[in-house]
Amino acid sequence: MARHLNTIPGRLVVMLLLIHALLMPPLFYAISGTVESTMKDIFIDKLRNVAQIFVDRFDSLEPNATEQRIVELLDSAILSGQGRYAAVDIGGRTVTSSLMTAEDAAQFQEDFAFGENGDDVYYLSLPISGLAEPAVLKLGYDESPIHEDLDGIGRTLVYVLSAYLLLTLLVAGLVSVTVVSPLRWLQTASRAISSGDVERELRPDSRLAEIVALSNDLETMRQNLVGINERLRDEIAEREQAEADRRQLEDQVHHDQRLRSLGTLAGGVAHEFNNVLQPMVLYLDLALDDIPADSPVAKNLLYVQELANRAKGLSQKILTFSRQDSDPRFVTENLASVTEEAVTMIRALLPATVDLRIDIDPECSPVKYVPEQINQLLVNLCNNAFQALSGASGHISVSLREEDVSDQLAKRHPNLAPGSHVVLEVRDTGTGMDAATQERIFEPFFTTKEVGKGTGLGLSVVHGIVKRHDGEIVVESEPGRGTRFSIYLPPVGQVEESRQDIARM
Amino acid sequence: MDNISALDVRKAYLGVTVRADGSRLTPILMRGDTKLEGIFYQSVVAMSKKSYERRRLSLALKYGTPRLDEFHELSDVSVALQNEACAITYMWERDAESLPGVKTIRLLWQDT
Repeated sequence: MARHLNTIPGRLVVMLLLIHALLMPPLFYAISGTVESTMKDIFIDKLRNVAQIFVDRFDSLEPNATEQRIVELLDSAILSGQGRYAAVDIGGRTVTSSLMTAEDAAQFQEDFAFGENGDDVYYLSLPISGLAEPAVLKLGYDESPIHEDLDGIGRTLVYVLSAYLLLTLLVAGLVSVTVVSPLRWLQTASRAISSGDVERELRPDSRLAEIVALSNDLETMRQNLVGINERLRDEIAEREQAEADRRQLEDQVHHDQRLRSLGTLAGGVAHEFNNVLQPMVLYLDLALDDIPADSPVAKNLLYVQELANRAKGLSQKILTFSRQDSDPRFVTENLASVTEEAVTMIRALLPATVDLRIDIDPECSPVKYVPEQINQLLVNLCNNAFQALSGASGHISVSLREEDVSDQLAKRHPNLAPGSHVVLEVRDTGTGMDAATQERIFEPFFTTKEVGKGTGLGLSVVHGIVKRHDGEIVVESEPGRGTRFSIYLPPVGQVEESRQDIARM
Repeated sequence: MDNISALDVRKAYLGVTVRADGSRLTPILMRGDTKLEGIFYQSVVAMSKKSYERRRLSLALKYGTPRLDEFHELSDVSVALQNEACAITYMWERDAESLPGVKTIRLLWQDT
């Protein structure tokens, strides 16, 4: 109950009821009193006028007028209006109207105000001077019609005031609804906003100036809050992105450092291994020269020589990965021809079920490269792609194009500068790799193949070649959807600029 | 003064100029006795008090008719009657008999 009283409609209704409870009774009594007084006054006024007219008529009679004539005039007085009593006291006797009842004839009690004596009849007496003897005219008129009229007016007044009260309450209700409805709408919208729906506009359907002004202010406040919220969200997103970039960069740096450490270690081992291997191969050659070619020992020594050569190749690969191989011969030209040659050779080695596609842009800028190493790089990547197909049909794409490295991509790869690069790309539709595998693919001797089926040096060699060419390798792979290796090599001009920048520093 | 009719008296109290014996009738109002006033309104002017007062006010405003002299005390009425030759008023019969020089010209009401 108290909750309803503390609402605008509740307060309005209570206030109106209180005001009307205070005002209605005095208003009712004032109006009904005025009406009653006026009506009584009109009644008395009219009655006295009528009585005076009859006095004048009696005064104008002949002094010796007959009793019949007097009765006729008295009857006329009874018939005029609500007459109840008409008589003339003349010379000690009373002449009465023939229309009076015996009961009324005994009731005369003079009045000077309406309702006096409580007999519902207004009696009055007036002297008559026109007859032969002094006479008094006595008349009585019914007051009850006035009482009935006053009761009727009182009831009508009650109905009118009740209707007025109801109408006032109705109008108050309508006003309340007009005011409260948009306020409730604003309340609902505000709650929605505080629950997170900040896009909800605060514009209720109202033309009330106060409501419109309030909603405009609230809407401005909401828009400001939305602006602040969006700025905060953007700032948080920017910080999160920066944090993610930083973490990625750290991971990349750690990855590079780990590979470099591995390269240093593996290179050192390969170098020492080579030092041992070289005299072994030399002495093998000398031993083979000293024994007949068809002896069983020569056959065994040839097998050992083959193994030694394989070991040399292995050692060379490790040195390539660690970038400690002997000074390679760089050339500066377009990569198109070396790519085409490598793909031609690779195509001959692949089964017919593999669709090898090639897309070479012959207008690519020249880069500084070692043809044998680029050839080796393509062979290794294509071999890797073929093995990713797991013997099933699929396709391998090799493409060469020039591409602008975006700032975003450069951010993720610290060794890659924004700007134009020549991109050598090998893509397959094979099994793809998960993130953990991608993390380790360039480590030497890391392989996902069965024991004895791969050395785990193919991609390590690719990594070493790319780094030797001041390039960057980007891997994108997803299990079941294939892998893409993109080799970014700087064009010759860019390499020069980079070197000059370094020299200036 | 003997031939003043009830109509003349009524006219005089309603603001109409009435002459008797060559002089203008001067009506005087007697206040303070409710019943006497009631008899006056009922028997002399034949209208309600409110109507009579409204008419007097209307005459004063419309035609500049001077307001009637009004007295609450019998002694004041007596003086006024003696000062004015053709002054008329209404009062109880016993009071009229007690005042010297006052002539009763008409009986207005009798207690039944």
